[in-house]
Amino acid sequence: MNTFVHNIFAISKNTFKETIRNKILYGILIFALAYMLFTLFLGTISLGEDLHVIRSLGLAGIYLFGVIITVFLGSSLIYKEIERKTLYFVLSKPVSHAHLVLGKFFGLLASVSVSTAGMAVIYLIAVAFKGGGFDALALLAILYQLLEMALLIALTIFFSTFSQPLMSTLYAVLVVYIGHSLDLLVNAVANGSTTMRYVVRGIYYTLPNLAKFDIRNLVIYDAHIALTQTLLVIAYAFVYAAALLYMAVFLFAKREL
Amino acid sequence: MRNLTKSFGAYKAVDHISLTIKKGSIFGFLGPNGAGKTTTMKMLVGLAHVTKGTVRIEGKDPAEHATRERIGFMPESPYFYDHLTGHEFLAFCGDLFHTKRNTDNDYLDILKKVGIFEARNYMIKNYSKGMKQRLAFAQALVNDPDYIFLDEPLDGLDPIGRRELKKIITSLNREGATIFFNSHILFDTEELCDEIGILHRGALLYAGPIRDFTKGRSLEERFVASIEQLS
Amino acid sequence: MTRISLIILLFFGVIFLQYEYDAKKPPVDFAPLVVFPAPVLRFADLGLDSAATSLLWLNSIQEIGTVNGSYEGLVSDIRTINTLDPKFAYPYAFAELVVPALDPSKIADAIAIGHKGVKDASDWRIPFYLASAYLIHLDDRANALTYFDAAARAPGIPAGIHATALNFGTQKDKRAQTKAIWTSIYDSTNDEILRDQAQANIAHIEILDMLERAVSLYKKEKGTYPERAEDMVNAGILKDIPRDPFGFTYTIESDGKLKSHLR
Repeated sequence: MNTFVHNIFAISKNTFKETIRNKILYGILIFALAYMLFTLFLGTISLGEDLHVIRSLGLAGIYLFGVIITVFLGSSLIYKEIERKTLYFVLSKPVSHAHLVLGKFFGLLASVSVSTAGMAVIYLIAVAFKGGGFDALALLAILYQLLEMALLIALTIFFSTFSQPLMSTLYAVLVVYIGHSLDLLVNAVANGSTTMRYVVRGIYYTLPNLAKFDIRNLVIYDAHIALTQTLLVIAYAFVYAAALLYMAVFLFAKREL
Repeated sequence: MRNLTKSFGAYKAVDHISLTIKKGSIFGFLGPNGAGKTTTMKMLVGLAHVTKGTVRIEGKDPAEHATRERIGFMPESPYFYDHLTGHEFLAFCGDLFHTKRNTDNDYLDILKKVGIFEARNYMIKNYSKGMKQRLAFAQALVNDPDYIFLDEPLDGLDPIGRRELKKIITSLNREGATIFFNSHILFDTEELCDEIGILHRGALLYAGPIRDFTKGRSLEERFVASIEQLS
Repeated sequence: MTRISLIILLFFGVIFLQYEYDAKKPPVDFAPLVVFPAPVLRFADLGLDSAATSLLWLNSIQEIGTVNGSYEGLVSDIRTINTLDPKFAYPYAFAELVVPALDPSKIADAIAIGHKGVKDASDWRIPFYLASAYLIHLDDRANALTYFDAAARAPGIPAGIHATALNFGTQKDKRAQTKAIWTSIYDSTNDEILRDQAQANIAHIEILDMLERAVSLYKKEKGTYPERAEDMVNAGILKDIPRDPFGFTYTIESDGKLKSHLR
């Protein structure tokens, strides 16, 4: 058991260092900073609705940049591992495929979390600067976002075990879009045939349903989020990611290197 | 190795190789490009799945973790994590072993030994090809292995580098390590090896002492002759 | 040297052409940004509805003032915003007062938007402005009363404005009451467009007040009512005739009451 944890920790530490030092990441973060400043400007022309504009656009920006960072770091890392065969160093040692997959997962999650935290700090400063005080509920929204990113990382890793790195990036983006629109899909076929409705229901339950991770609209209006809801969301992310990573380990072990 | 075979669909990359390597010797695996040398080595270190046949190191399967604790592997044309320093990379590799615990000094010693001590805190993306080659060699040594597998170890090194690494290989062998390496540089092979194996299109043409193969002529002559004989 | 002058020449050419294009632009209607129904937008924005509506809102309010055609597009944009994010309060409030001011034919739309706002969003300004709209544009005192009461009961209403809302219908002087309502509206928002409108209305009422006071003074001094506003200037009672923010002109009736006309 100790080896299991030790190896995963070593690999995640390595993955974290490798991804966090990527210069392009800093480019993206600078863009995010510029974006935040821009929302401050937009607030001034919003006819008095400064805080609403800054909070809604700010949280949306953290999300979009977060997705970009996650997908970018995830796919470039996997690309390096598989296409450029950096895995040979690791797998020729007493390291199992599970160690590698989980190590990559936690390392990437750490990098994404640190980047997101950076953006969150800028956001909180901007909101406080405009008289909104300390936006604690926004932190809850960002926590939900990190859960979604964890799921996205697991998804990218899963796709990369059987498809080309470019394709797995595309699939990840597609899943993000579909994952947020599943309830719209269900509504769209509400008047359709029974088979159609069952098929869509099946898709609804199997594909990652990402809408639950978006509480931004509630947070903007200071709604109360129940604890049970948060626990269910955490559990969903955990279980779905575990399933994806387990399948990834299995597929990865079968893959020709 | 016994009847070791590796197929990709209908294509046989490695076709029923059987050979035994003596513990404590230096074995050179030769063959033209595409002969299947790297594929064979990948099976030896547990990186590739064996389609048919068996491979054993001291009676144990390299696919098991415990076996890999005692081997070192240097891949061909290595690619690295660009944003790590040489020292960090080496420490990471060492960290993945459990029976040998290294101190920082151990890593520094290895870096000195392979000649990249000065560059230890620079990011790997700034390393030259020769430096990367030396680093790849260094990480094969972090666990003080009994069995060392090297895939084209002298590739891309200048003559001084080649001489240094050859010295290290011979000294490791004197200390008791068994060394198996792939090469298509015949001159170095002649110098280093006790025994050789020749692979062509997946099939083993010869395996045994180097003297018996060369029979007085140069290795290169004999090698080219046997390959051409088959074509 | 010639290369630099060529670059400068081209650059000025671009500036000149842009200027000419702006000058020659035909009168525009308010072009609605969105022609897609709400579910399509909800799909496109990845569920980030409040951000999407913030952007739509910012876009909509930019065009006001540059338009000299119909404002149908503005109403349609505000309706889209209300559907995508029903809790976003300010667009409802804004629509209730500014839309009819920009385009009086749109009063029914404004009222409809107001009703939806009262139902879906919680901001005291929505019922307050709705009541004001009923009063000012439709002279519907019954509905105005209903919604001023609703506003008075809404959480967050400032004390002074609360008093105004509560006292609606109890004051005799309608003009003073209307002025109090506009003053409340002015105080309730940081929105420049709405403030300008409030200020203009307050100024208009103050001008009427001032002219009526001048008329009584004239009567006291001269014994008769003045025939035209200019008479009061000549008599030294008024320095000059103030310009009405809405462009009204004034005539004086035989009983001394002021009548305003829009030319």
